[in-house]
Amino acid sequence: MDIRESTGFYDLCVNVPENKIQNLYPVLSKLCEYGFKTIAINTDIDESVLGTNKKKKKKSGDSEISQGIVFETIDIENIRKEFDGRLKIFNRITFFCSDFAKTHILNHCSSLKKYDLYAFAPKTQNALQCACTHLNADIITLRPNLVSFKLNKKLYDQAIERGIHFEIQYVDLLNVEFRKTTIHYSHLFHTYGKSKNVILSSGSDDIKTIRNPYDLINLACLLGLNEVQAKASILYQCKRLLLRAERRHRGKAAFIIKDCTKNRSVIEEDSQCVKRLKA
Amino acid sequence: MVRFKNRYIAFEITFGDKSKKPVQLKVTTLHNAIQQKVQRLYGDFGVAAIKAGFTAKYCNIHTKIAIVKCRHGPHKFLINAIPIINDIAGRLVSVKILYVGATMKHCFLFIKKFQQQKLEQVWNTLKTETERENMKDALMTLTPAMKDCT
Repeated sequence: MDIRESTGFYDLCVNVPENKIQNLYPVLSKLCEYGFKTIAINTDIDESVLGTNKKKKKKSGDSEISQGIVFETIDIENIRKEFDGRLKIFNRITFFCSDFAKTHILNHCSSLKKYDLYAFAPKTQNALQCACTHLNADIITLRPNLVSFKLNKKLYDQAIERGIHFEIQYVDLLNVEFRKTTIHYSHLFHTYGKSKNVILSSGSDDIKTIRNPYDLINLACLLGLNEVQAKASILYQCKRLLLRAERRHRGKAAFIIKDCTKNRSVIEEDSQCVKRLKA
Repeated sequence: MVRFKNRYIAFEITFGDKSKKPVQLKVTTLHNAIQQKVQRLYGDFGVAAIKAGFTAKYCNIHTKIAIVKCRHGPHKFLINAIPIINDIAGRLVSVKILYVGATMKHCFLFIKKFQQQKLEQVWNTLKTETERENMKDALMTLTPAMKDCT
């Protein structure tokens, strides 16, 4: 797999509506119309998928079984072809978990390697703590419909140091029930770490809940981000996140070298002109 | 080292209605009343903003003085919302902010001074020595939480 370059506005969480890929096309074309350039298609995985395998694991060799777990993945190759040149499409997995031990099983899964981004949604305070301190994930996303979490400065700093990003999904802001909790969490990021490493994504599966990126930048001031951070949260921060995800994949730091031969030829032509003039 | 700035708001509650029901002033009812008012004034955003670190810390039934704590920043919402509270647990009240401080200690020092002044005002109107002693007890008694800080 090549490192794919990414540009433009990012929306790193798009859910598939009702698990039907056909419904995804209008959503994606809407995103494209609004000016998003890079998106990630999300798959939710609950820990119960792995839970059934745990019993088997005790009977036989552990790594073999856990490697055999296959969960439903969306075939994104077709979508990539469809939107080639318009959208860069990544795929991401969100793992809902309350027991931290389950993440080790997932780490052994071969199908995890198919995903570009690995998001972790803790279900308990304990899982959140472990995730901040030693989970090798890219994103931690705090879902407001689960139990209420408590952050502290130390946890947040540890997560930042390890390059983990925190995610705010604006679909929760449109929902009356979860609006308060979502704003509350994003204010926690602000008070504990000045909103470092915060990204904003849609998390939507409906065409009606998608918003224009410039509106999102304005919306972000409600969430305790300043103007620079607001723009970064859907641009540069996401770019950094994708590079970091690449690093997690390969165990190396990733950076992109661009071919600049065109520029050099212009300079050469220029110097030749100068030579000609001198002659 | 970054620390979180807090603000403690001390305010006095006067009950408007003449009914002689015993005054029930609890920390939770006060908390709810303030939260409702912020919801009316600032909506969901306001409630979410004050949620972190917002607690009613202290409530004195005799002197009707209460202290709430919140984070620096959203305390501005509270300062605007508290004076226009007119209903706590179904009773008509009017609320007056006395002091906004950065520590509990300073709030309590202020309250002590404030009570002292009040006592001096009523001192001469009282005739007998026992009345004066009773009044002093009523106004100057502090709850245990308060004693620790002063």
